[in-house]
Amino acid sequence: MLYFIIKRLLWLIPLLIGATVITFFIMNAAPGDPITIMFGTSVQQLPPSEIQLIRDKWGLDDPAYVRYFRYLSNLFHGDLGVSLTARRPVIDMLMERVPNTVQLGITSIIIAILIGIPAGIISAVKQYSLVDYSATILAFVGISTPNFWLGLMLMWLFGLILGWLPICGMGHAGIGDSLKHLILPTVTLGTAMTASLARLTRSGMLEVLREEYIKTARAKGLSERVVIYKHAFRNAGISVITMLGLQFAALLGGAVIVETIFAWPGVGRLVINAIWRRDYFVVMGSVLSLTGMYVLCNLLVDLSYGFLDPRIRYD
Amino acid sequence: MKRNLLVMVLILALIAAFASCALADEAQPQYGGHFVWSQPYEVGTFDPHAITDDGSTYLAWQVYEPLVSTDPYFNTIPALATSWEHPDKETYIFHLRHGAYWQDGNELWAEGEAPEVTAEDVVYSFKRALDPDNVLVVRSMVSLIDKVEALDKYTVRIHLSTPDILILKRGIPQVYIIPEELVENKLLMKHPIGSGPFEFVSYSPGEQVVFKKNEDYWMPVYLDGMTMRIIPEKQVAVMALEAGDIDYIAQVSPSAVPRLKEEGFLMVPRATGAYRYLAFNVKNLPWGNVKMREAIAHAINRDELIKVVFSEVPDLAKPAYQHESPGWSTYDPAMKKLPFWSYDMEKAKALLEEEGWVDNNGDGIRDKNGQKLSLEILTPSADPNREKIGVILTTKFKKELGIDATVISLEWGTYLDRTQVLPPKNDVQAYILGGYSNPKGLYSLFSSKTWGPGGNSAFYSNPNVDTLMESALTSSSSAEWVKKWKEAQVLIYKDLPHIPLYFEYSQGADKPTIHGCNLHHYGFNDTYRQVWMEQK
Amino acid sequence: MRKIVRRFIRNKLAVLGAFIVVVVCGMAIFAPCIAPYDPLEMNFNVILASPSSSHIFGTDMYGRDIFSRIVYGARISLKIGFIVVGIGATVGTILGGTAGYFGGLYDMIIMRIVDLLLAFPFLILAIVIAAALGPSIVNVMVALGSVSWLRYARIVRGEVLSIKEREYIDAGRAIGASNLRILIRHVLPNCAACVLVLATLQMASALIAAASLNFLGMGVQPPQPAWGAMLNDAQEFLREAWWYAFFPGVAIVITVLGINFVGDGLRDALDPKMGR
Repeated sequence: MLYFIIKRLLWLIPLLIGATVITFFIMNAAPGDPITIMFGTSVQQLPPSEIQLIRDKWGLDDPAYVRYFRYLSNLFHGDLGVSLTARRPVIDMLMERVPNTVQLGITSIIIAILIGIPAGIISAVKQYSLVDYSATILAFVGISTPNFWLGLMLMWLFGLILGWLPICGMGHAGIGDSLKHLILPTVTLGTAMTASLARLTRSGMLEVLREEYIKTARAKGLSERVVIYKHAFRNAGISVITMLGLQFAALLGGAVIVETIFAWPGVGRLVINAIWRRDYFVVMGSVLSLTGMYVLCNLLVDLSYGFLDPRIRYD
Repeated sequence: MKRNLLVMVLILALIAAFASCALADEAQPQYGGHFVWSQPYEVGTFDPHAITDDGSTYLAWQVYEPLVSTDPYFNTIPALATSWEHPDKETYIFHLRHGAYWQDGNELWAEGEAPEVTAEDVVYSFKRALDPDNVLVVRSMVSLIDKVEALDKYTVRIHLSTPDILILKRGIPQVYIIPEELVENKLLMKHPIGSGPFEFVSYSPGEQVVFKKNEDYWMPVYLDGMTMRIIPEKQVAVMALEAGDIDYIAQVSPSAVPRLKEEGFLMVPRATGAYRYLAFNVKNLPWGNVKMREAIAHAINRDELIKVVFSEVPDLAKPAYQHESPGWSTYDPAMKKLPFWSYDMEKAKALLEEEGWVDNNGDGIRDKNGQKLSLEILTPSADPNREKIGVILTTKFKKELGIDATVISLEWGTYLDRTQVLPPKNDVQAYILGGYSNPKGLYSLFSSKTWGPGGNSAFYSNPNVDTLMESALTSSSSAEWVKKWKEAQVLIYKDLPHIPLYFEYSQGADKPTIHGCNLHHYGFNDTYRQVWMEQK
Repeated sequence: MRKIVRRFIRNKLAVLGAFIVVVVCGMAIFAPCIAPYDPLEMNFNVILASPSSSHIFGTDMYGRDIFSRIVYGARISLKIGFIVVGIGATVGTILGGTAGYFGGLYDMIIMRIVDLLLAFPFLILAIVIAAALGPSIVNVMVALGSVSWLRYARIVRGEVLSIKEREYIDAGRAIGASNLRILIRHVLPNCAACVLVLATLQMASALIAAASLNFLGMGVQPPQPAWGAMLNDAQEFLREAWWYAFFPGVAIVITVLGINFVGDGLRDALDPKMGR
């Protein structure tokens, strides 16, 4: 088991390196120069020789591959670089913001699991009933709604018109306040995942419920509940959980938009600002953290297979 | 009878006395209260010498102070320096305030133990800002300073390598005075400590900064404390104001103004306007020909533009016919009378035809020698108003003037990249931008020495203007500078590198119980030390 | 084939979806006939007017008719959708198919790239690409296309792997047919079904992704009408002019919904046991 985990964590390394390569070279191709952006209109008051000194000091004029390898070697020493605009180590900035995004992401997933999976199971068990049809349509609408529009509409309805929920920031006046601030962003972010989980669970269950061993289980006289949860769901669960893992990347991507709309202080907002200012190290650090989160999530998914299906073990 | 009269007079007198007390209280600032306000920008950095964004400026204003500051019209006012002398063109001598202390009750200094701000501190701050190794952005604004020395405990002499009459309006006010101990103890990026009216308490990244009153500040501070919230989406900030979560918004979106007024909120207008303009790359044809630009100038209806861009909300913008903002000493009302500012479509068409641009093939677009008349206008995407201007102008030019006009909205870095390339490689025809609303703006925009990254992306070059502006900057009296600046402005606009559109007066909004808020005038020192809240 | 169509028709939601898709396509094709106004025409007298008999969905901040802009906006949305899906399906099928067929190092490299790109936070990648290339519809399509081929590659590879070992392939090799021929004539047709289903579902997500990019300010240049861009502009007026944000959003939801219904119905019809 341990061996398996280590093997997977090792796989993280080339993945993260690949992510940095992609980010670096695309950012590099983008027109625009951090110095000009940073100094704004007063850049002409500096003699060109001095601007050149700055560029040399920060190594901005070195060829791309040189800069990239410099970044990589720093990375292996645990140095993620310094933000050109904030003049602070990137790692400090990430540590401030990443937990907020994680909080948002995890809460969304939990809600998706708590609502989506039971909805899917009930839909499958009661196939073709009114419950099934309503749930199906709701689920489809959920997948089809762009999260930024949903966010705007929710904000409009609950924040403006009804005034029930806060619409920006994280809330610092205690647990209750924090939870209230979590509601709208999480619902916005989690709806699509809830909907697709519901659909997946439903079809997965339908497929499994037709299998022979289900009939056998029923014939053996096991209660319906045991049949559904112990046998059917366990088997359908694998494909559902796999999907969940894969969709996590999309969720993280969606977090960028949700964070912007609801002024949630997470990594998404940080990276958008950094792209705008060509703050390379911040962008790369953020991409690293998001990719890392995705891989860890998938690792958890794989480990959970062992729990769901006793046939799968990693010794 | 007489007694009744006496009683009545007494009662009336009492009423009058109470009334006047109440009224007087209304006008008298009250102490106390925690002020919550919002602005849209993230705080980029805590280092006041490395500021490149408005969020960091808002923070620095409250905690730190410069030697001198400016009022909304760019007149220099005392801050840490109470008076100053200008013995010769390159020298300034500042006399520091007695009794201005660094903030206490923090990691550096215990209560009551903080030292006074002295000339040594000023020298340290300037030296730090000017040291090229530190790569601090503010250096570019004071790069002309070559010597800073302390003459005694409260006197500082600053020497420039070249005279610059504007340095007290723009340059020195941007250098915040910071304690050396803060940098030595590595606290600068964690816990700012200055001599300003508010002390830093805490920072929630991306969300808010909390301040508390500096009890020992050299002026009375009314508020007990304040929280600056960071709300990037303007309409969300409006919602928060309406919900009572915050007391003041620093920038209101125009469409919300009528409703807020109805609900009883007060609008806080900016004192002076910010310049917005349509500029051309005068090195590229066909728009390098001044007659063509004149045609465009006649096709711009500023009132209509303002009405649509600001969604019919009044008072948010005024038509502009020059760079210098109304209220500045260099503002010249006569500029409005220059002949090409008149909105005259017929004249515009006539000018185009004079230059040979006629619709020969009936496709609705003018052409000449087989080439279509096209105008590509670039605009940075960050400011939606600029995009709006672009859409309005290009649609109009296409429909009524027969120009194949398009607007291209670019992300900031990409925009700079294209507009700042030096000619002849620069392929830009025109762009919409704003800003440079400061005393030196005219120079940044129109001097041949500031081509490209310096701000002159119109690549305008006129030796007469250059000489005039340079002699203005090195003149010995303000009056001389004003006179030469105005002359230069007339010369410049006659060549039409820019077509001024309007001056934007953004507004803040606050609850009626808040007093003393004023909107930060474009870029400058404006703490909230004068804000007070009505106590219930 | 007829059985497939019959199964499809029996699925009520699928038929509804098909109807919606047809309507939207019709809107796009016949836009000039349907739209009452020129989508670019500004009328400064009716800025932000609420829905009325002359402007059924109201007007935007320039006084342009929102309904007309939604109708013309369908063109851009569908164009992006079809092209992105086209690129994705083609590239993905080729890469996935060859990876599965030839195997070995080539297979490993391709799959590792797929895994890497799937792990990458897509929206950030798209933003960076759009910043690098500049804003235009073409660049949005490139950005979206660069990640859309991934799922195809995986699925086609899977199908190819399972078919590879079957007997008629060996038979084909035995009589000397070239690899390419085998691939094209025998392997690919078997994947067609799943690729088709995936294509419909990808179309839906491409539409949403394109709208998201437009919302973030990349992609369409003003004043072109695009649903996502309209939502971006509408944010500022959420209170004063709710219709500005509401109707384009509904347009997106309904279109994507229709496509999803069709995709789901296709999947059920093509192989009822395949249902996932």
